[in-house]
Amino acid sequence: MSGASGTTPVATGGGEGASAPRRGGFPGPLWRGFSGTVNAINRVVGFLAGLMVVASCVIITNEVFWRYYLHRPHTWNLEVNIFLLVGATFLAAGFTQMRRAHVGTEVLQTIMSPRWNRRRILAGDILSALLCGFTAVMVLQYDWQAWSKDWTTDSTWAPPLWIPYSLIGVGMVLITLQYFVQIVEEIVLGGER
Amino acid sequence: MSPGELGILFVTVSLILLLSGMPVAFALGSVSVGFMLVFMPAANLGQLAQMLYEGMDNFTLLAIPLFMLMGIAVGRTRAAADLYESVYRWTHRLPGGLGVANVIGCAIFAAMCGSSTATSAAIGVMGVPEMRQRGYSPGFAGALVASGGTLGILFPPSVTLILYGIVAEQSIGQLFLAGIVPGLLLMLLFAVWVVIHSYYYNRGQRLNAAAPAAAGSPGAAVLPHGADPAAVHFTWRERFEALPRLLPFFSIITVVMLALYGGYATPSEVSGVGAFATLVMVAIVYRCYRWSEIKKIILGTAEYASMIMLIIAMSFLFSYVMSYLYITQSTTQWLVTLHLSKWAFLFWIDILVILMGFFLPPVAIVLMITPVIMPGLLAHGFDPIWFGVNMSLVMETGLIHPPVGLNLFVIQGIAPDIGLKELILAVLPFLAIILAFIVVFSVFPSIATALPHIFFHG
Repeated sequence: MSGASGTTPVATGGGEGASAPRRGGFPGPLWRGFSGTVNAINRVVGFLAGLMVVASCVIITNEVFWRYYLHRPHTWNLEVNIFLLVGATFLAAGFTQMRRAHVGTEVLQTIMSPRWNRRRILAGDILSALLCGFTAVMVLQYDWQAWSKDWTTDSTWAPPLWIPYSLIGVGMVLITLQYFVQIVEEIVLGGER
Repeated sequence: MSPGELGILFVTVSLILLLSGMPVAFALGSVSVGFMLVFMPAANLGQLAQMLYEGMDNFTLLAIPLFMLMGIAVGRTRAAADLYESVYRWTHRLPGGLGVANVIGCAIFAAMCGSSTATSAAIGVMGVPEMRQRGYSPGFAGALVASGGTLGILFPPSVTLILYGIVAEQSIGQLFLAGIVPGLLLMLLFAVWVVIHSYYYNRGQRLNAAAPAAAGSPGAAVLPHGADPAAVHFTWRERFEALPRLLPFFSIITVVMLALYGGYATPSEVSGVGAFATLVMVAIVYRCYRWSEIKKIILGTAEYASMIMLIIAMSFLFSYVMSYLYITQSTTQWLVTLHLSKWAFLFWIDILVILMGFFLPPVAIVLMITPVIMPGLLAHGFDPIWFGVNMSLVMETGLIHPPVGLNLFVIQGIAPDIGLKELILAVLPFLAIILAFIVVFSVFPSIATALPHIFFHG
């Protein structure tokens, strides 16, 4: 939203779930169930991520009131809001990918043929999926350490650090799954859509 | 490999991935993680989670999704239509009065949401069809709203100014104030161009219409822009009756400004209070409380917030890798060794930002180049507050300059029948206005710095 210049949401095939064309029995009921579940989870989690932004605005307004009118600031306000920000960013990543709304540069789109454009976008999707999958593994490993060693933040409230790491890890797992669905559907059905 | 060679490789790989069309966030992330794997100790990869979290562990960043929530909530109501209609009642007697109303509408809407694309979309949905219906050429109508929308990253609460403030460690309150006068001047210049263009366009249309009419042909079907005053008339009573419709907008803007500059809240807190006040306004004044409407606002916020914030999170990773591999520092040193004069330095920085605007969103540009150029800018004696606004102005051009520019695509989404060529040709004068303004703005930096100086230094 905030002024993304020279870029457009990356638009290609592989939208929400398996679409009508069938190829060699694909998409079968198993795949439809899997892709439908991934899409549904991302939609619900995306909504939760949006609610986190709304919750943050309510908490901040409440904090401003408590601090300036009742002179009683809360110690938890700052970190709860940071955690909500982290949650809103990463948990909605899969939902945003489902809508193909992560902005990318489409300079080559007008130059390349539709066939090569599909290949280009597919290559980008695979690289993005690898990055998200790799990040998910690294983050969840770190998250496990934070959980098992009871790491907390340095503040007086000291909430556990596994919370934000879990939010990042789960978000990266969800976007990896979303990419997986879109890549498989693009490879199998791409040219027919 | 020397830092210089590493830097060239880093920039080359980044450019390839960015131009490939993969999402900007993941292009930046892939380059960063790839270079970590190859050129940095393995322990760094183990800290990936910590790096991502620490990048986001900044309360000021919260202002971005919250201002987005504000913009999306307002964008889902008829608020933009009210705004546009109220302003038009006051400008309708000018040649191109409807166009001027669109420019002013863009500026006021921008002050509510801090986003250029949201501003173009909200005003364009009503403005472009209405202007075309009144005889404005389609390209001009689209270009006007696309250009007016660019004011979104100049007026507070500009997302790019917030990010610049974070990276350059400058007061966001001062940056917001610094953006106001340039924003108003640019709005005025756009409006003047609309009036001039409409005046001459109408004269041409009348002459064209007169010729076939003289030959007995019904050629005067097109209603020229100048027909606005004759075709539409609002009495003074009607004009004043429309003013209360602007009240919700000005109430929110006043709440935000009072909270920020009255010392009641920090920019992030202001964004929270502003978003809360906007949600209340949207529910009470515009009766937007149905489940379907609320769902759209929440999902829209999640989508946009995640898209922008992921770019920001990955940009932090990108900056970390650049700094670790000594690329940032060696680039800064290289810039110093060029021994450029103050104005040559600024010129090349502006050119770099314009070029980056071809393929990168403003948020990524701010995060990627600010750490590199800031030491050089300070060494040349530039005011960092002034430069923040200058960079926003330069990035405005990226939103409308050919061959790409997101606001142009927003307009094409609203009116797909307007050809890109027609749109680009019509946008060129607006582009020239912004570029000319950047020159004047560079010669007279007090256009930006006067207001923060008065407020913060007495």
